[in-house]
Amino acid sequence: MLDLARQAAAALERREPAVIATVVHARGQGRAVPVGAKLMVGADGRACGSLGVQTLDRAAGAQAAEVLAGGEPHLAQYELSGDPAPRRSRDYVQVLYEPLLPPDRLLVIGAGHIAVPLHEIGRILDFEVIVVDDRADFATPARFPQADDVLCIPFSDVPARIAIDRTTYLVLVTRAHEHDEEVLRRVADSPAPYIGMIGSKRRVITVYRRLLGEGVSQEQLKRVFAPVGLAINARTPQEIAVAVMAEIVSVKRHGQGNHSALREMPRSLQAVAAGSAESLPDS
Amino acid sequence: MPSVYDDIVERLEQAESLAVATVIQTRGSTPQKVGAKLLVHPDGRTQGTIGGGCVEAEVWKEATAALRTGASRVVEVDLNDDVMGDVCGGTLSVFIDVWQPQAAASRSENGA
Repeated sequence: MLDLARQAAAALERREPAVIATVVHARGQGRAVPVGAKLMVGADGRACGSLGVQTLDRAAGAQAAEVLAGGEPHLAQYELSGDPAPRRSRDYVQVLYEPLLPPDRLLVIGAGHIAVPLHEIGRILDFEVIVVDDRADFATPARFPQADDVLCIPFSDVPARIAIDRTTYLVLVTRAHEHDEEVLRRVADSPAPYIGMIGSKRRVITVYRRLLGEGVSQEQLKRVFAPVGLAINARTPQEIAVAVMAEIVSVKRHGQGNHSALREMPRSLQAVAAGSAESLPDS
Repeated sequence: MPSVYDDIVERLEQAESLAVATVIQTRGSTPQKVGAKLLVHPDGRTQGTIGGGCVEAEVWKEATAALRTGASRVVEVDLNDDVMGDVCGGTLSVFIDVWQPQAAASRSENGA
């Protein structure tokens, strides 16, 4: 049991998905296996522990990939043979499958006045929170006590030092648009489900113009939420942080949030894009 | 970010037991989510939540009892019995899993 718990903790620490199958109930002949028996199956198919009989371990191993893909817990009933138990069977083993998924990650680029409430709300919403800045007096754990990690690195190191995957929600709130631009250039083609960038419409357009000129595509920039946040007329840093985190929740849960972001590239920008790309996807 | 398994490892390494209550099934209208967990320590302390006061007190009682016997089991909670019955409804199944530092063979030593 301790070994399996250690393996589970280590997998989460490495952000590797896995599935834990647990015998939660047994009836009739099913009682041959102990309630509480566990099998952990990694994304690579490697297993640890046992449900008590090989037949069940095999069935669980086969089911694990499906549970990982679905991302939700699942209950199943088996006979000791490992076959699914008929509905009204009096002899069965009930197995709970739980996906172990790395927590969603909030990556806050820039450690200024918006980053502080942002990291607090991120923590409340169960994100793993990482804050990055290139200033040693801003990128401190004392300033971000709720953060899981605070990195003082050049902005240009962001994608190299922090893996940006499908569970990484990224907010660009640096002190100057050159820095936002620097990071955006490098993460525009990342699989991050959310990239938000602070700034007025004008500042956003300035950044987009330069990136389009460099050959970043309109499609890539259309994924960016800028100006950032839901349109709630937020004014204070705290209110802006609420607007941004509400937007992230809306993206994550496929909600109907009313976004502030530019939905269409202004005509002047389309002309820039036309210079470096072959098509204008929506005009 | 520490997970529930970090807590389990830490407790077991200290040779302590703990009960992990997990919502495994819901029927009817319940605010609880399948997979939600509540950790209950032998001294009664808890960590996490399975979705609120309606049900947590009852699960806590069952979990502390399970820690005494050492037996993991499923309990059914009927939210309609609750004094807050108009807020919550439906029923849910909660698996109370007792994690012990040694294998079940030493179960009797963990009694109250």
